[in-house]
Amino acid sequence: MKRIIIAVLLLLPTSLLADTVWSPSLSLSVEYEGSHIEEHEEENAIWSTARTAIGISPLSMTINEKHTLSLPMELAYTADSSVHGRLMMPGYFSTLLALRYGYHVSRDVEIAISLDTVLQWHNRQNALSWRFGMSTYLTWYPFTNLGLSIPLSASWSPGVLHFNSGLILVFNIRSIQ
Amino acid sequence: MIKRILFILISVLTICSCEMTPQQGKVVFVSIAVDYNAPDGINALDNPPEDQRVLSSQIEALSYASGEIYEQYLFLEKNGIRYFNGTEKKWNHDDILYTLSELDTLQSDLVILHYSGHGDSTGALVTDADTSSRLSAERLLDAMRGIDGRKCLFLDSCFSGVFIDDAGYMQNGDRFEDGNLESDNILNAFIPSFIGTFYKKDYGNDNIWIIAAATEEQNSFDNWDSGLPQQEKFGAFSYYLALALGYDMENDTPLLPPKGTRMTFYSLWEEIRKSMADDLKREATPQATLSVTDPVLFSL
Repeated sequence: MKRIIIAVLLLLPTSLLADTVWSPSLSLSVEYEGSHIEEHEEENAIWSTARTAIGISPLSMTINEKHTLSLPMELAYTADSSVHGRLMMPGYFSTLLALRYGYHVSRDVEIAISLDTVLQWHNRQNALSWRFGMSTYLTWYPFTNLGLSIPLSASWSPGVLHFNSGLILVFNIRSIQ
Repeated sequence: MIKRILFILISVLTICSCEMTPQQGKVVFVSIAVDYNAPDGINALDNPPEDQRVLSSQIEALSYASGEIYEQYLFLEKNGIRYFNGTEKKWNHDDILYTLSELDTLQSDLVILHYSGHGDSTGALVTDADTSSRLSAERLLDAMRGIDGRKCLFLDSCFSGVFIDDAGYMQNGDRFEDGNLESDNILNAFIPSFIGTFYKKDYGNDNIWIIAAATEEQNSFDNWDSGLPQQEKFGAFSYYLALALGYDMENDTPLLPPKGTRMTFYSLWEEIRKSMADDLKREATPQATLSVTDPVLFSL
């Protein structure tokens, strides 16, 4: 974690000198979310649901055609979960803000990692809560501006661990500096 | 040999493809309604008996429609006479606690406890005005913790918000001034919920979800007039609870929602908040346990 943060901080001033390209993007995602609730551990259940999101990453730069630093944002809706033993997790809306670092291993393939902060609005409970986590991404760009990404995320809110995976459609809007 | 393997495989597939009949669940309704010797008693309340009648009939109808076993334990004081399940009997809060301790339930059963009556300044339930003994939040919640199942409490009494532990990490936007609701803007919760994420250590709710008629500093009301049918005959909070459960107030009869409806604790909470008159909400602001988990009350 420390190394990632140091790498990001070192890249920031480097980007001013290097070949930096503003590389904003839009995304659409559909994910599976599984939640493990500490208080109901002995019931041995994972509460499953689907999450859909639209994302935008206006603050994004690609450095030396290899490294990408960005602050992606998302608006998402997570549906009502499955029911176990008469218990479910109601659906909620959320906004995500992340710090993301990506590395192009080749022209068409990128791996990335992000630190995520999520604000959740539980509309049925009429309450707010927060969640924090980390995600990794494997993205394939079959076309210059279009990518398919597979995320793997783990996040924590008090007493609950969440796991997400799915498919993200990424549309890159590349601009020449 | 191959024939035997095929036979075993087909047998296993056949058995696995059969749907197991889901085990029938149980709904237990425990209600305490006290009118303190109405109409003549000091501090008498007119409406708790009606609250119990309406809520028990609606919950019974919903339970049967959901294919569940239904049990009820009705502690009633009406015009100064005490009844237990319709039979005249002198009961006190020890009988209530004993009943709760003897409930035979499983983890996936639902226990609903309803109270309509006075709460004292500490929020304790005044189940007996003639003695000084009270049913405190601590004693009642201890008793509820000892019961297997998902437990929902609906408390229509003064200062009943004391029953709800502020879990801290989930926050609503309620802001109060001089004890009355001044704002319920959800954005008020932006910073408190962030801070609450890190300083609260106990995040569970012991399988207990509570809706209380008022905060720990507010009174609740024996009735309220917002121009709705029959409203004057019921406790202010209990009326909206019955409406949210689907009771037909105009015709004074239980009414079932459409088939396929799933009623949960928080869908009920959402309905109560939406339908409650603003002036009542201001003076007796309903409070609820805030949890990411939501018990399914009825599935039709």
